[in-house]
Amino acid sequence: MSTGRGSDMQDSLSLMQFHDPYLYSGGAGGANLPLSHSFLPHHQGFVHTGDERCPGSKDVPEFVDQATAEVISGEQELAASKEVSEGGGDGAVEEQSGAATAMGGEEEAHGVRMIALLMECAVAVSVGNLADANGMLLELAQMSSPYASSCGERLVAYFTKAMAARLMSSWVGICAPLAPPCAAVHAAFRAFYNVSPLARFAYLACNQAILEAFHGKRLVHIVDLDVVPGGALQWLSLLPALAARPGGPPLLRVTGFGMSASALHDTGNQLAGLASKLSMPFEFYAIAKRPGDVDAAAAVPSRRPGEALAVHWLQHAMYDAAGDDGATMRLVRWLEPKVLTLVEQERGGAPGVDGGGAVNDHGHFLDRFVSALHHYSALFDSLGASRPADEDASRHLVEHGVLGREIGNVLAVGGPSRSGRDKFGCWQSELARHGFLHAGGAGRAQLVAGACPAGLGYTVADDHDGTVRLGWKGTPLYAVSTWTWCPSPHAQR
Amino acid sequence: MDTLFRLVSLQASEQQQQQSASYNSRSTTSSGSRSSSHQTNASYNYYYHSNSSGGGGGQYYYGQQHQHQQYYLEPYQQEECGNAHHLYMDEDFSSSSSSRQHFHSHGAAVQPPTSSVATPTAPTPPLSTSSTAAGAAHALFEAADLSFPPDLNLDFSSPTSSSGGGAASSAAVGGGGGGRWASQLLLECARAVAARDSQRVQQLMWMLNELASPYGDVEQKLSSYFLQGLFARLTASGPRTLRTLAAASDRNTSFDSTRRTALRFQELSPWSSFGHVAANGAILESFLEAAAASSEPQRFHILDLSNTFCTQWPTLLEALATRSADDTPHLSITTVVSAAPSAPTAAVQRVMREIGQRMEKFARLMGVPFSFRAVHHAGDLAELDLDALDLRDGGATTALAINCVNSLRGVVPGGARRRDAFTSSLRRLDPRVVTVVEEEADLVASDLDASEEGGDTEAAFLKVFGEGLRFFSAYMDSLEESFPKTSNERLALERGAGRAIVDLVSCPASESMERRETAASWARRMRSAGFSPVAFSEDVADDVRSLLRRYREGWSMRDACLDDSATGAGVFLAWKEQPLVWASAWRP
Repeated sequence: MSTGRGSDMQDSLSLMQFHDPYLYSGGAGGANLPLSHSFLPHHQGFVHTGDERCPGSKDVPEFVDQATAEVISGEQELAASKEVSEGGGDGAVEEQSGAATAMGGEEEAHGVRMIALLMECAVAVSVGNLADANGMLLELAQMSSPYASSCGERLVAYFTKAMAARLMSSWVGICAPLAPPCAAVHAAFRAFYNVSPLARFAYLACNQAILEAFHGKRLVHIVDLDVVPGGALQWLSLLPALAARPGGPPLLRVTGFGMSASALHDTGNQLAGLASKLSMPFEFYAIAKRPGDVDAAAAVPSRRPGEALAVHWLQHAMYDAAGDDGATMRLVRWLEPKVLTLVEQERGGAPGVDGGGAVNDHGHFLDRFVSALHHYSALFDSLGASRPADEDASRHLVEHGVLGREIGNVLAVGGPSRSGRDKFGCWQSELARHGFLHAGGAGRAQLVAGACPAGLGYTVADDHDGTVRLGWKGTPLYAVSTWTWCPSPHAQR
Repeated sequence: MDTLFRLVSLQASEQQQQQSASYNSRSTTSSGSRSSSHQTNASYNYYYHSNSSGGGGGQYYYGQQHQHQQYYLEPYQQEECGNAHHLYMDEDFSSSSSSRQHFHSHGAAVQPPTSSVATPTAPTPPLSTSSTAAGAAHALFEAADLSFPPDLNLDFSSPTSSSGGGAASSAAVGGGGGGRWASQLLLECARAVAARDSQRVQQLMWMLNELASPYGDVEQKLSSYFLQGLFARLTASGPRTLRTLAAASDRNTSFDSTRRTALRFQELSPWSSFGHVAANGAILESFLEAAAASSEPQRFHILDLSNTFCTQWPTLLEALATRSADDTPHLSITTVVSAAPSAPTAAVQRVMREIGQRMEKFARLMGVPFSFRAVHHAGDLAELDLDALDLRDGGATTALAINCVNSLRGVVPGGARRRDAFTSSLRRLDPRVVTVVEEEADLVASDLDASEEGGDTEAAFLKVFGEGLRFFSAYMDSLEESFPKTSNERLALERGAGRAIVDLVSCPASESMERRETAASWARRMRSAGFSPVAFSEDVADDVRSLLRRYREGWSMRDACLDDSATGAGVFLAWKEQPLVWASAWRP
């Protein structure tokens, strides 16, 4: 399929003069990738070997080969798990997927063709052969529909769109992101919250940790590092819990960061309304900036004596919410939170790889592509599992407004932040490095698991350090970790 | 002070100062602030309703036609072609475009800065002038510090301005209720392309690319498809892009999916059935008139120059059977299926054979003596040998009707007045009636613009771009409001429009089959070929009106004669007062 085109690729590359400042300096190697055999049927039965993947291997052709195989097997898994969720009953995976191969052969052939072409296209992008990639994207754009019933096809539609946008920005030569309209982000995230229980689980785990940290405190302060996606959603359940504490409600202060004044306005209004219903003294501070862009001492209201402070950050890739990560870290340290709740996306790669929660957004395009395909195929599959399938419109809103936006940023030139600023590869290890300690909370995972509808496919696990991992059928999707600022032992409290 | 008021003033001052602010509403302090916080409480709520709109409207059936079509258009699975990647593997972008050189030189200057900067700005794209952006633009883009072209007064009726929050804004975001930002940006971009202002093109295309989505609202879709066209134009890859798209679409559409799309389109939009009803009415009346005028038994023949897979004819057959007196006259239909010379025809031939059989079966059912013939023609209609069609099979008494539904624009406009010549050749067939249905858009560069070789001047490009934008905006808008949000059929129609847009924006006019013309210029052409207009009878007009009542609000019929009595003829189908489809009937 791809052999023998090397010279063409080089030629077209030099003609194209695409600019991809982050990725390639000249049309380095990688032509004549031995791709063709990866798409042959014997990979249908490929056993998932994510654990065996050697991260040290920098040999591009070999890596591509493994990555491709993994994606193919991931797609197979996807088809299989889809069957399960329809058929119900975990034991029947093998037979069901076997039956699916026999019956929906046509559809599956379409799916395999699409994923093979998508992979080939990703490889072309990764080696800078954007002319070929463009041709394949045109083909893919006619093949895949975001309204298809197969979630694999919907996924391909969004990956295609993302790569087409990437290619266009390479050609235009400006890779900077344009901040999305916050109202659209909020509406889509709200739909996500309704369609998928994952956000609710994450909120639950965070709120539980915050509640524990606020135990017995009369003055409490929550700093939300990005209110735009969720708005007041998360706090609407925390406030009643605080108000119901023995001894009456505490004085609650909430400081919200966010790029939209109107989103902050709405959030403040909602919280103030609820607080007054609960007779809870309440203050809201709106900071219409990104946390990495402010001078902490000037922006954030100063701490009151005896006040317990919680920092909350739900990370996402819909846009660059934080700004400069170094500055954000300085802000977080300056705040000296009693608890910091961090929701990270697990896009790091294969399941089971240690060091969890690492969002691998820095590496080669193909790394990002493969891990994103893995992550989002599980997410797409999980959507609607707890809801009747007929809610196409809201599912589309989620896929287009949240997941599609994220895929676009992850695959974009420069990765999710696209700002050129320093970004931490893994906030968890950075936090540990900067004097934060894991605030273990036994039973948090059990609490979430208890709220998790059984048998749907959502999985909850916890680490020894108290990190709660939310996943879909064994693929970890989000990690909720809780931290406490502890510059020296015994300094707290 | 009242919480709400403080927040509002915060929001107002935020634009200039960009500084953090705070407010508090301690409900335990004075009684004054307590009451104010209650007041606030009443003025907002935080229960959002998920957006459940989108499926509304368009549940109507044009029952009769629908039913008939299903009768003879049964699933037909097109043979799957191989996944022929190699088709375009040896192709690359041609490098003739000089504009790319410009991009290259600027490109180096505008790479996002890699050093970490303390300012809260996104990397600022290059523009000599500083940002004097319209405040409204900020509302949409949420204060990302981007410099907009200073003279660009964009009208974003922003979804963020409503404090009602989720419900209102999600409706605005999802329902295409936003401003017409796409048209403004695209037109601006086209002007910059015409002016060869590569810096501005670069900046506008970046913005459009960030905002566009083929799966979003109407504005995002327009951005996406027109951006694709502009990209193909600037990389001089238009014809190749179009070929790739057409081949891919061909591979991925089965007859079954085509049929489903066509039926759904007719079910939800009068776009296609409007022309069918009007044309059928005119043809039927002309036939019956001929039958009444003659004592001999009549034979009728329809030369069908339209690629509508005969969806028009079942209703005519039925009307013929019920309207004619004792013995139903004999009807022949010769349908000309024209395709691009390079297109594979085997599949189409199979389809037409199938359709022919179904048509004949249906005619037997209706008791209409009937014969059917499909003529496959590769290439432009103007190259069709009309004399070889042998349309007078029943002798001189045969009444001939020529039906041209969206087919005249398939005559490539370039050079030597080919369209004039083609209508004149229709006149030579001496038909009783010619029905012409065309989409109303002025996409042919005028003689003045096209005086240069090839007719692809910047002025012609700008004119076609602007008019194409107007037409496809209205088309996409009507699709958006007629179809459910997640309709694959609508997606197929939009992709078809996307291919037309690539053709219009990036392909030479001399090869384009998408160059629609206005009713006025078609009427002028028909008159100069020796035809005179036949007004639609009150019966036909009633039929059309009752057809439109089956669809959602927004569609209307307009008499084209009212607009311009000198050249006007026929009727328009209008969407929100904008005429989009024109139907007319002519006789020698």
